[in-house]
Amino acid sequence: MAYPLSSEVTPGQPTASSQYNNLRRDAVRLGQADLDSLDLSTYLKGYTSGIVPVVLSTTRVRVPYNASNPPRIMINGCMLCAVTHTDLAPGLISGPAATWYIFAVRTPGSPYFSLAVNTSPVEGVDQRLIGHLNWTGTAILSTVNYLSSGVDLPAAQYDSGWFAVAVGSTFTKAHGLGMSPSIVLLYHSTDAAGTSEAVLVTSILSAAGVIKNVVGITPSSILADAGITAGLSGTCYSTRRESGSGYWRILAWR
Amino acid sequence: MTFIIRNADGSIKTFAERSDDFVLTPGETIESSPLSFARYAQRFTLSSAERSGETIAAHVGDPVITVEVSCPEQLAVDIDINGTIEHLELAQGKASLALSTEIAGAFVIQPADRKLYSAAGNGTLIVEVVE
Repeated sequence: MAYPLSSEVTPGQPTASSQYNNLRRDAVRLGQADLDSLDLSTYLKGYTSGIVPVVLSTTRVRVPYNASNPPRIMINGCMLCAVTHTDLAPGLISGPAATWYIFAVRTPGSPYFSLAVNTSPVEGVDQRLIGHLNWTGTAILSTVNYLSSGVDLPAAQYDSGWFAVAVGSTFTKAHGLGMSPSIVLLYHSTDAAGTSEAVLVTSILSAAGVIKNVVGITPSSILADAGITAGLSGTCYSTRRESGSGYWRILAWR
Repeated sequence: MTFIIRNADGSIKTFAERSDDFVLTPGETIESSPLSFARYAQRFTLSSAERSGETIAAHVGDPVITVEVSCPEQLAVDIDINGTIEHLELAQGKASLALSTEIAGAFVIQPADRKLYSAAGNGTLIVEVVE
């Protein structure tokens, strides 16, 4: 559907209902039909950007302002921001050691958010839960951010799942990414369920005293070589673990 | 379901939960088993002191190393120890081996019949005895 649906009118031109409705549809659903699209407020309900609560002092937290990634958050349908650091007011945290939850708070009449804390994680109408802090009883030990910072690595675009390995084999896996992946991680586990410590495999002991890298990449495949000599660490050679068997799992990103 | 990749000689190269991403080399074949991945992995396992899928290190003179063999629902199984085949009678699918630590070297223990049991996964145990 062409966007925008609405068109300009000239001074004095009577506005038809269709013009108004097209303008409304442009504003509310980017020109799409009601059945085809959420309204913008619903779509942006969970929107946040640049909000990372940090420890400010022994009893206060801050959402720092960064001009290149300024804090933005949608609370109760309102688009809010910060233009300077947003600090928790003093004197709000006390009592025995506990987890305190951190909220961004909307105040009617203001486009800026403030901060509040509570030992309950339940959001109020004009609140968004953004993280928690660990209170020792005398000081804030750390904060945990519940929101994406915008730089989190997304889930792998290719995941081989665990597969059994032994020395003497090359495993060629079609990653289906349509191009050579830019990141490939190879993990080793000692059990099929992958519940053991996952050890990153970058090299193996291919022959006595010979350490070699493991992974090759093409636009269609990832090739991983287990060592050629039984009795050596051909599937995992790490300070964390040595192995000539076990399980591998390959993750890849474009 | 578990997918089994066999080498050209029929021995099991690997087994996995998914099969659509394997690129087979000439002679390799793929087949499926109705067993779950975890269950298939338990068909034949080797461990020592509850450690499996990793190299076991020991020093010369350490106490004898006991290797546990598990092959559920079987009465016997043949084991390959550094190329020598040993026949083990199983009790309730289990048996154990004792390895000497008198001299330095590596023990590579695998199933003798690699068409039936996989050496990959928990099917190989390497015990390295060093000075």
